[in-house]
Amino acid sequence: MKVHLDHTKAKDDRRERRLLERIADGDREAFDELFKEYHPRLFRFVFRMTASYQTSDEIVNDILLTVWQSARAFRGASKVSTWIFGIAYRQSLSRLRKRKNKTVPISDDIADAENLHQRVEQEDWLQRGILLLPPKQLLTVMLVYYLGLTCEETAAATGSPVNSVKTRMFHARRKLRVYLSKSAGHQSPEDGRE
Amino acid sequence: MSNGAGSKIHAQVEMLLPWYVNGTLSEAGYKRVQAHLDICDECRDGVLWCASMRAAAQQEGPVPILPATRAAHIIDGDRERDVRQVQWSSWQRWSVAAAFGLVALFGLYSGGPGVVTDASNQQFHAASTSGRVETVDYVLLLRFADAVSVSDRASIVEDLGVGHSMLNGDQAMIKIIVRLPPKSLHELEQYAAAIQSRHEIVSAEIIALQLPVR
Repeated sequence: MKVHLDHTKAKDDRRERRLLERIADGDREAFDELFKEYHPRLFRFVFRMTASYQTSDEIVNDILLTVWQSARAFRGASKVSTWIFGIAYRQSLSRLRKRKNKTVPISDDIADAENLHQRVEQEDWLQRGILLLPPKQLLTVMLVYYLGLTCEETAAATGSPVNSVKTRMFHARRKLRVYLSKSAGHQSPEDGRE
Repeated sequence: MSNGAGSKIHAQVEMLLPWYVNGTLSEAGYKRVQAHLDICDECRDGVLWCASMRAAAQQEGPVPILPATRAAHIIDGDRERDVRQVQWSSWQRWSVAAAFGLVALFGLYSGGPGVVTDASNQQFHAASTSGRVETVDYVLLLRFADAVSVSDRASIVEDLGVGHSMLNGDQAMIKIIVRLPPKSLHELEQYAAAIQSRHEIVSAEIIALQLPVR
């Protein structure tokens, strides 16, 4: 089964490489085809983190514009999808950092972290907690858990060494445990050690 | 994990748990993690945490459907974006809502073609994505088989259930508004697929949504 899936993925990648070559030559139809394939995935990915329709629309448009403008720069060292999600990572990171700098949390409708604690409901506390992670950790968590990227693909998409990706994921998990313990109104001895 | 070799393996496996959970480890990596999990409570706990994080990351509440952006808009420069960034005041929102309502009513009663000619016209969603929304108007694009007559098209739309209002109805491709509780993208895809399974309909696509203006 895994072999079959790998084969399908490889076939998809070959097709996407051909599309990207045509895009590099300015083929609008090829871009339209790639757009139809990636726009929904990218929009869901970005919307999941920003919770803002307008911001997501802007970020995704910027990502796809970069794909159109930079297709020639694709050297084929990674899969096309990894390259595109790498662009998505950088565009989203830049936007999320700006919002962090303005001390505006990730979600549009959340005023501040303290406020968030009050708004957290039992069923989605973990989901909210993930959105409070620092931008790099948040994006890495989403690449791995939402998009299902391998460790190597995540490293390629984020432009980081594999070990940094592993460490980032580890710290995200640790941070979330502490956050959730605090949210629950108690701190376990284990959290104190962490 | 008291001995040196054991704690080294523990540290390595601990770092691999996210990919063990998302199913992308190599076969050798998977076996290595599996063997360690048999003897390590801490890593078993780590697996549960990673699985919870993965479930939370994948959890999608009702989300707006895709914007009606087209590839050409991106290449040629999407000027609509500037329009969407305008912060509307309350009276402006109501004015636009009223205008949109009139246009929709005109289309409904006149039955004339081309009342709504471009999907981008349906991008009336920008007003607000916050707050609790009971129902959302989804704009559905239906393409009928050529053999289906105009009157049959109207009755098929009626068959789809209550809450539908037709924007233009005498073309092979029609747009209707469907009033539904907020749905996730996945649910919307299923909804459209169910409609498309009818033999009279060649394609069914949800192209935009309109949130109630507050």
